[in-house]
Amino acid sequence: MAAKRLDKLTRQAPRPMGADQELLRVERLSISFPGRDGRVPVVDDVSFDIRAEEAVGLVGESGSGKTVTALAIMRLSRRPTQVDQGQIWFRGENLLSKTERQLCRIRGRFMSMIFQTPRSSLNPLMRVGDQVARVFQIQQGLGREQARGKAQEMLRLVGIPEAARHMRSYPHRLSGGMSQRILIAMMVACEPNLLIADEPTTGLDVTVQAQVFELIKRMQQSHHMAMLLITHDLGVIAELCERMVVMYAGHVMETGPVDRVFENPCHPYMRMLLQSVLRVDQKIEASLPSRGGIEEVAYTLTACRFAPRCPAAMDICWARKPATVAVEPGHTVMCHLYAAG
Amino acid sequence: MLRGNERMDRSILRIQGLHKQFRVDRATTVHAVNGVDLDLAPRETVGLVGESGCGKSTTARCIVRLEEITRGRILFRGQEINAMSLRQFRPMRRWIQMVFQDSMMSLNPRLTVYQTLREPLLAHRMTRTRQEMDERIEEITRQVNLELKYLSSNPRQLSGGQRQRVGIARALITNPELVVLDEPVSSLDMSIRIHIIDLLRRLQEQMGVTILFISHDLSTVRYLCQRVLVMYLGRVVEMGPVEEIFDQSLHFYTQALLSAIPIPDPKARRQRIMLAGEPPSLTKPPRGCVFANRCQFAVQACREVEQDLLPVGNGHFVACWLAAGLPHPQATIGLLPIANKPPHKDESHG
Repeated sequence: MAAKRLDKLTRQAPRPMGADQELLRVERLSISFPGRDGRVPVVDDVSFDIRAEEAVGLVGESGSGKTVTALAIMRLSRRPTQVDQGQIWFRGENLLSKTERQLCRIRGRFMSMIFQTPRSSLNPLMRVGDQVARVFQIQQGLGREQARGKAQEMLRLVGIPEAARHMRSYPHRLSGGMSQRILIAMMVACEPNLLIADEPTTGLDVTVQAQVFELIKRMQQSHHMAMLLITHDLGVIAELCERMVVMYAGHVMETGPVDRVFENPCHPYMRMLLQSVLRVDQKIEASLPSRGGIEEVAYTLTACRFAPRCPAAMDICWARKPATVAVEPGHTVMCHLYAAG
Repeated sequence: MLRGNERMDRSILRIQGLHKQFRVDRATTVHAVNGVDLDLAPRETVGLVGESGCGKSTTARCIVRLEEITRGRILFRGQEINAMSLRQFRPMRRWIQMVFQDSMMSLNPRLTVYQTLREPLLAHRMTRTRQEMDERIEEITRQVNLELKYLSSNPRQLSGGQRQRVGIARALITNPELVVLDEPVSSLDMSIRIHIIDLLRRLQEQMGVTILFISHDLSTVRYLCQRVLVMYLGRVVEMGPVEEIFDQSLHFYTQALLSAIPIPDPKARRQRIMLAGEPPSLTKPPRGCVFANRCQFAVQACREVEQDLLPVGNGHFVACWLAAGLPHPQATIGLLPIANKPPHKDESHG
């Protein structure tokens, strides 16, 4: 029954889904790594959803579990990383129950991912044009010449100058910004429903970053894709996303519409982030809030993992994990400060 | 603000016409720095900003003599340090210190934090007794907010933020007059970054040290620095007091650079200048203005004549005759616009 549905799913070309329709739902996902004293729960009970054509930002610092979550959605986690519990629903089907064969038909076509390091994501021994063309050959069964034609069209679309000449270039000839453009071309080639971008501008200069984000946003809108944008830069979230998910140490601390979360940050962690953010467009005279140098992340805590750094920590924060509550429609927070009563 | 001779005499570091070239092979030379002038007054914090390949790190490395310069002069307290032999220069290192971007790579993995901090004291024979040395090490460790228990740790046992504190402590332990910080926070996470920035601001106030802060992160520079130099392709294109550069920048490149930075506020609206193309190759730097091939206002003359910094008042300088509001010195060459692709403007928020 499920297999039959998948067959139907993969045979038809992806088509724009109605906006506001749920596209992806991550439900109570927990992921662990092996550690010295047993498994470390790096992602713990994470839930969020993405609607069709929506841009959602996933913010958090290193070690917050952003990338691990994204890789799990793509079903790219490899041992010893282990999904312990939870479900990932994509277009109404649970991705965690799919076989590798089935996944190959979903990846690239219905969802695709742009990685942090564009250079190591390209095959260094293959001409750029052939790499982009292969996407069309494999996913849409086009012939070589037809696929190359489409590839060249894609390169033009993502703003590669002299597309015809660069079809023949090897990746080492390209700058970081150009490599990322090529990858974007490959990832949006089949107009997937969901594009996951994991810090797509790490290591790029700000002016190049601006070019890349402008391209991603343009592609997302023109191709009617939903996007999960992973970043630690609140500026990027403010600029590109409609909704955001804030992670810390493997917990989702706050979710909500971007303008609401910025206007009314509820979780002490989110407040701390917003207070400590520096802006180019404003002069900051006052000294920044500086809090003790706790830099280790407490994955082993079964209660609130932010408690060791939290200025508002209470006894209960060390004892019990808070429930996630809605502070306003669509805006949720996981903190004892907002617990009912 | 000091002017003219008074300022020159008082400057702690002066760089004149600095050039640094790297020979790649017989036919190729990378022109990393192409005539940079810089003047640091005592106790001031100056930001050196620009994108990768603009020559900011090379400039820093030349100052501390990790690179030998190709041409120009570097004067520290009036002494020409680039002309000294390395032997003569060695005692100077006590006064000129550097903090590096990658704290893992710049700390010796086989030394404990204590041993790392002891090195400069031994090298410059700064303490007489063991007790004096221990006291100095403990003092500096406290000043950078590092717990004393980490003195016996190896770098790999520390977090990125803690390692960077060690790097800063190692630089400050000799009581230097000038500290060059090369991207000290760019590899750190946002909430840890803020602690280090805050620490730097406090140290700068307490210790009265002169700081050259090299960064591509302009919001940090705005917070920490009093003066800013913007570099592009081995040249300084604009320089001035921090508020002027951020709020009234004149050079088109500075404006584009500032507008490219996302603002963490969904309500902020502004015009983004999207630069077309990429900077020219450093192996073949252009003859005229370094920015001419990407500048929407460039005319033929811009491509012919090298552009020096022009004063526009209040200590603000810009390497663009148009931005400075001057007629082009060699207008006869032609003021015909050249067909650069106009950067497209994008009404966006953030």
